[in-house]
Amino acid sequence: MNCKEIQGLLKTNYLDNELKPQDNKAIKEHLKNCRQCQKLEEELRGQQMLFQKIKREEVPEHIWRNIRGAIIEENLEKENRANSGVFEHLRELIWGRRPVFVLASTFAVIVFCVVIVGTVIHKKQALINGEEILANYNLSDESGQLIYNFGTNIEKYLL
Amino acid sequence: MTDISNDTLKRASGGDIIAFEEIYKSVSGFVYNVALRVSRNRADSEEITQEVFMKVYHSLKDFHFRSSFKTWVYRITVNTAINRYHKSIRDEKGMAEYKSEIETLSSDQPAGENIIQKDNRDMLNNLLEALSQEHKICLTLREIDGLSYQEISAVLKIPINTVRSRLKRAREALLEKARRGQVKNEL
Repeated sequence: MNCKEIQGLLKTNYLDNELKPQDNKAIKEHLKNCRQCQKLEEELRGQQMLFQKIKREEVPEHIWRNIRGAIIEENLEKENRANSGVFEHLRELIWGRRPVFVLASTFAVIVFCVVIVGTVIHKKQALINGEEILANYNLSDESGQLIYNFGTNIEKYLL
Repeated sequence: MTDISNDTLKRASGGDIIAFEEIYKSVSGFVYNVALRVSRNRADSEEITQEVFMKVYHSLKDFHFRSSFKTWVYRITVNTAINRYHKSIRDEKGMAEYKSEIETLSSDQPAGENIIQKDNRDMLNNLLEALSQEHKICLTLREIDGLSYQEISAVLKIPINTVRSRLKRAREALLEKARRGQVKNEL
């Protein structure tokens, strides 16, 4: 390996202990005889020391209190929702956030009303027509007397 | 970060707050410090930490143990912190606050903090300013959190070769900045 390759590894795998043992050994051998690469290694180690001297900051205690509070509040809301009446739940399920159900239900109600009203009107009309037909049957003569003989033999059995 | 048992994770995913507190104690140090390094703002770091844990709480039932829990939380943390950072940068007012926080962050340390520790932190913050956000995250995951190349690759969802090249460029940029500073001091 030449100096350029060695310096590339010094800045990465060598410094981070991610090298195969034989490559690590080869670099150590090179460093013994190369002042320029030695200097780079010292600079990189110094940089690394600076990171290692930095302590992690303590997490402020109130953060957990806030998180715990938010979770408890969420769970309470969930419980309240679960405990609200079945009807409320159903109503929420059917009407809440589902405009397609609202449209379908409205349409069904309109169709139902039209069918019912149509049937009633039809029956009423049929009744009126029946009365008119019956009214046209007249078994009286011109003077208003009932006719008993229409000239057939059947009358003697029926009238 | 200590290992969290599968049993604890299962109990927490079922809504057990005690089990969730155990998880919090184990990973909150990492989450808060990554948030602090990305946002450089204490108020934002606290909000990011809360947001991360609410996300973890809601998504625990979808965590099927296919990946390491540690990597999963690291990933949520880094993504949440970066998103918050971009949002705050987009917002002009947020940008002004961000700049002012950077100026005051170093003097805003706990009263008992060692002077040397404070000097190191100031020096490091000053050096890290030379890096892009992606280089800074990659380098601090390696140097401060001690993640391996494999772990960084999983957290950031980038190939290992990209991890390596980001670390190389980040270290070169830091060396360059340190050398310039040294020359300036000598003059």
